[in-house]
Amino acid sequence: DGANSLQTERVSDIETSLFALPVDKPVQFLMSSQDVIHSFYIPGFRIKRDVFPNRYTKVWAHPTVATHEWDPVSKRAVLMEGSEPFYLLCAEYCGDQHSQMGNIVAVMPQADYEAWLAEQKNTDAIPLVELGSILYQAKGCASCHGITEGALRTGPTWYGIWGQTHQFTNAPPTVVDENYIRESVLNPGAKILQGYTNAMPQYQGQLTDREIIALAKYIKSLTPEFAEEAQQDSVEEMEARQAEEGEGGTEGEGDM
Amino acid sequence: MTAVDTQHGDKRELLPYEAYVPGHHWRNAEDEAEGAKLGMWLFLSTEVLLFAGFFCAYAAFRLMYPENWHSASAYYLNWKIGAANTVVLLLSSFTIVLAIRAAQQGRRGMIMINLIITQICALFFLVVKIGWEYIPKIEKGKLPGAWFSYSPHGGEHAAVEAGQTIMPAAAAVAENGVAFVPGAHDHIFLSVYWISTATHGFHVFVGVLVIFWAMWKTAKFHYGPNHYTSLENIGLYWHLVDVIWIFLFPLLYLV
Amino acid sequence: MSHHDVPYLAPKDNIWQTIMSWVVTYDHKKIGVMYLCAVLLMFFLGGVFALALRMELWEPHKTVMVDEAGEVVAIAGTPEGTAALEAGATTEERGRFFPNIELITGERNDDGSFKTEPITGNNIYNRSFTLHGTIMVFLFIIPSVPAALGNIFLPIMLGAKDVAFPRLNLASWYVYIFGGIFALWSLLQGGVETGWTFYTPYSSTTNWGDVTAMVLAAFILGFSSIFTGMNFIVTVHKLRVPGMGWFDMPLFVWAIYATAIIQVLATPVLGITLLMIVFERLFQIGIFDPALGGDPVLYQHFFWFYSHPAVYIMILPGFGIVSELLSVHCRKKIFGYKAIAFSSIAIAAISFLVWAHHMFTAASPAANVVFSALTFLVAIPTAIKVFNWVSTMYKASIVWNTPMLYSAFFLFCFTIGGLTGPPLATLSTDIHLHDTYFVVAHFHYVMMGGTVLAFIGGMHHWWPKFTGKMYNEFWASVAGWIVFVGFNVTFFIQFFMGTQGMPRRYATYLEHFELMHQISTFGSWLLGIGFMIHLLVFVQSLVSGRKAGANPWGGLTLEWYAESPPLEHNFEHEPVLTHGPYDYDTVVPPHVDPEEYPLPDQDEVQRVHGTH
Ligand code: HEA
Ligand code: HEA
Ligand code: HEC
Ligand code: CUA
Ligand SMILES: [Cu+2]
Repeated sequence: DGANSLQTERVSDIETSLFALPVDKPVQFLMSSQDVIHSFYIPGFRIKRDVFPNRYTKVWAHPTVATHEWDPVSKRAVLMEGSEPFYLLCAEYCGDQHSQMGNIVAVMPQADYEAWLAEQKNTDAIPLVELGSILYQAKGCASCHGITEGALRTGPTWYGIWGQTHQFTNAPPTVVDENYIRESVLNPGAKILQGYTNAMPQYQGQLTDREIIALAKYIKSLTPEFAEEAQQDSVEEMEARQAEEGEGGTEGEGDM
Repeated sequence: MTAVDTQHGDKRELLPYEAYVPGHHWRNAEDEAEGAKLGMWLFLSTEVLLFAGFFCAYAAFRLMYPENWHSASAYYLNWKIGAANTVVLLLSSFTIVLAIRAAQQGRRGMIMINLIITQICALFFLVVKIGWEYIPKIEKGKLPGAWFSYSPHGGEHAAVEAGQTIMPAAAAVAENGVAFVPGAHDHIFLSVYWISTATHGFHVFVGVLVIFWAMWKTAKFHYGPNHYTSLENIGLYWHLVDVIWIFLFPLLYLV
Repeated sequence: MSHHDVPYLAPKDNIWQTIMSWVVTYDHKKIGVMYLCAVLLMFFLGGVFALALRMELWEPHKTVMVDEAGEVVAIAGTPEGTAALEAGATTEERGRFFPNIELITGERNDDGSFKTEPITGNNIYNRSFTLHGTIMVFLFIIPSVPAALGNIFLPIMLGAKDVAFPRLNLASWYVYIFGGIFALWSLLQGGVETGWTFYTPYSSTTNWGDVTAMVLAAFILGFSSIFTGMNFIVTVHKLRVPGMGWFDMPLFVWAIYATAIIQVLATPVLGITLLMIVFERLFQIGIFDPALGGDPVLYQHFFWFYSHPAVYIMILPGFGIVSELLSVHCRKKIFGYKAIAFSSIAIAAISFLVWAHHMFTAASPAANVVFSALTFLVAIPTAIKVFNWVSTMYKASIVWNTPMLYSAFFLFCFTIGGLTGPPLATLSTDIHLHDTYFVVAHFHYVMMGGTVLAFIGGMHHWWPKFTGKMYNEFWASVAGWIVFVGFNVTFFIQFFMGTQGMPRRYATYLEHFELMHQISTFGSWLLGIGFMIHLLVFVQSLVSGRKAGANPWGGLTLEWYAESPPLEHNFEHEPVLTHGPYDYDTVVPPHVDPEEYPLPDQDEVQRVHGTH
């Protein structure tokens, strides 16, 4: 269930501009933070639980009143006539954006919820580099790969690797390019970077083609000399697809 | 000091401790001494609570990372050094009591001798602590938290990346012939070690300063059979410093 | 006349000597007066921040505190964000790179989603409430009553010439100033925006302003507080005038004594906690930093282990003041002397066992149940006090002057504040109320409505004694009423905001709270006006006030035996205790004409009160 496990940060993330839940179904939120302490607060549900960077906390809810419904035309969840939305707020001071870490909680009938969910999984409207950066967090790459210079984690940093020639323990040297990244993601064991073990999980079947390209472009953008080029690639790809779909294909920022 | 010692008949100027007058707001010297001692006990209780903070942190992390705690203690700390320091501190606590006893008996020379022995012990403690523990640790990068280095010779630091402590791939290192795999939270152990022993060391240092002051007062005849409150208070302080070490030693070195 | 027999305020031969007679004084009264000036200044500074932040909350979105400096330069995870991180932005800055592009304003689109506005930081607002809270707590309220009024009056009430350790007392004052300078330095560096609770890892990683200096300031101020506490404990034990047993002490002294115990036993824990934050920031020791395997919840335990007892450091002296004021201005023996005295000690003891009620949404449920239950216990000794005070007022000949007025305000406001404590201590309700304006209202009702109102009442009560001047009763009571009304307008509405889910520390908020926030802001203006008038009344009194007699209110405690203002050594001769502190039905107060002070008819007294 998409909404069941989320990181609070994602709540306000562009990934979902609404925080949607199915009505009449208990949900449990498993939460963890990436920076400081936040607190997951839905006043309308009378629930609140702090979210920590070093552990998981849980809280559950059972929404009984639907507030939103899915509008298939505009591809949005819209407020039902005469209902008041629930709000999701952050209740632990977390810095500059503390008061703006909120969202609307859209409780929808099951069918509407599923329609909404399907639309969320459609990432077509997100440019490649941006999508890559989302996937970097969402698919857990961040737990092993840093994006700053010399970041030491279980896996190597992605900073400045594009175009470099890498040495491997079990394969001849290879230049870091799109193909190499595709291979690293789908079959990490094929080329094991010197100084590392084969610790990376396989992502075969878990990423779409476009997502792999997105990751590659994102990694490209992390090498300063290629950053601009990566952005350009990203824009070009977008334009190309828009041209394919014809006029008025993708909506704006609305409900990505 | 023009007063005259009438008790012994012979005319001489009174010594400072004989001529002492209590502060104007005290009814008598006895009240003042008791007040000072009560104040000292209150101060000591604040000290205990201060260190209690460290002990709580220690307990919390030991519960969180029990095995790592054990291995880190065994690997990074040498119990023999700790034991030697424990012995000298105990000895110094004893000698400071002898100094107070000597003050009660009015034997100024003995006060001085005992304070000097106490002082030697204290300095021994500090020299061992710094020379044999702190400096080698700093050289090898066994510093607290983010400054901690997993390599046996220092250098790379544990990187501070969100949610992760990172060890270099080749983590297994051997030192003193003991094969050892560092734990993921050695740097937290060392944080607790550093902040608690450094704060304790600072207290020892302050102790050294006040004992010097006591030696000066001894030299200037300020302590006598009925007037040795500040010496007694320094003694109390010194015992506290000792007691805290007695807790720190097994907790850090012998787990 | 020896030189100690002059009033302590009397100037010396020349201006230089007069100045020196203050800055290196060991006289507890002068130190107290210096403390009083400093804490009042801090109260006004904190109050100005309060008015400013209330102003910002007039509208749901940002109005007066829009700052360019706080603009988020990049979005985490994007190339610009990465570039910013490369360009010297350290991990400490990560907190600033929140990955949301759309910032929510109060207005909504027709589909119910929020309208967005360009990103500007909330830093100015965040700094305002942090500085407001920090100044009010560490620089104002904790030293306020004990170090100012306590310093001036505790020794006199005991018939002593000074506190036990006068030099330590002066040291405590200088340590306070030193800590204050650190706080000011931090303020000039751009302030702090962590909240007064300095929660890690935010406080250990943010790089706005100078958190290190502010934390050090609070650390240093802790020493000042410990010194004062030690001094008072020893003074009470050792310097009571002969014949004064423990139960002959005024209740103000009991309250300060209980406060001092907490100061001595709780402050070191705060000290070590704050020191660890400093280490955390300077050396990244990682004890509280989850990124290094540390534990941020441990920090919260440490912090509240001090800061919960600290709230009783704040309120107990207020209790003490009210016990004095009620008895004097009701001209009646305080009801239940021993119960009030012991309940102070009981509160001090229980206060160490309840700290985790601030962490119900963070800590483990099992521990929560225990802490919830323990917290309820505090209500018992507090209730004892409240009921005793009310009983004291029952059938009393009350004189409605400013101190009495404030005592009544105190009873009203503190009881509301106190009664909202148990709902917060109740696990299930606190889950909803935690970190909302309900909590904000609760603690203002107890700190402002409790301590501050008692403090101002005490200021008026003892003003003639320590300045030797009378103040203008009419204007003081007018100001008192304005403050009282303003206070309730400001904070009562916040209970409702809280129950409706308005979180605290919010620079922007949902628009349906707008009206309530505006009412609250309006109230804060009344408060500002009220305090302005109080200030003017005091200034007028100092400049041209009528000379005060030794005992304008007919009090029976020992300070009323001293002259107004007291002599340098308080009393010409050590006073002789002939009656208890509240024996109004049998004793003619000192310096009061017995003709004008007929004792009450003993039969009538017996009939009303029974035999004590
Ligand atoms: C002067 C300071 C002061 C005082 C005296 C109190 C008094 C009390 N406080 Fe308060 N409190 C604060 C200052 C204070 N508090 C502050 C500053 C915070 C917020 C900190 C922050 O997060 O920034 C806070 C927060 C706070 C919380 C955490 C809320 C949260 O963040 O979720 C809780 C929870 O238990 C609590 C409880 C209590 C209780 C039970 C009392 C009791 O002592 C009250 C007892 C008094 C009475 C009950 C009234 C008198 C009694 C009667 C009239 C008899 C009848 C009553 C009954 C039978 C119940 N307080
Ligand atoms: C003793 C403690 C104390 C006192 C007295 C006050 C007094 C006031 N407080 Fe305070 N407040 C706290 C302690 C206190 N506060 C704490 C600890 C916090 C939590 C901070 C945090 O979250 O970290 C807080 C938070 C807090 C908030 C919540 C902010 C938020 O969460 O977003 C609000 C909002 O309304 C507020 C308002 C006020 C107001 C209007 C007053 C008024 O009563 C102030 C009245 C005083 C004056 C108006 C001064 C008079 C000055 C003038 C008239 C100007 C003249 C000037 C000169 C002559 C120089 N306070
Ligand atoms: C459990 C840890 C882990 C996770 C999760 C992980 N990786 Fe890796 N990754 C590694 C390790 C270890 C290596 C080095 C060994 C190797 O080359 O297989 C590596 C290597 C790589 C490389 C080659 C880097 C170079 O410098 O040559 C790429 C590209 C890569 N990973 C991409 C990804 C992507 C994309 C994801 C997420 C969808 C991901 N990784 C998730 C551990 C991980
Ligand atoms: Cu997130 Cu406050
Ligand atoms: Cu509390």
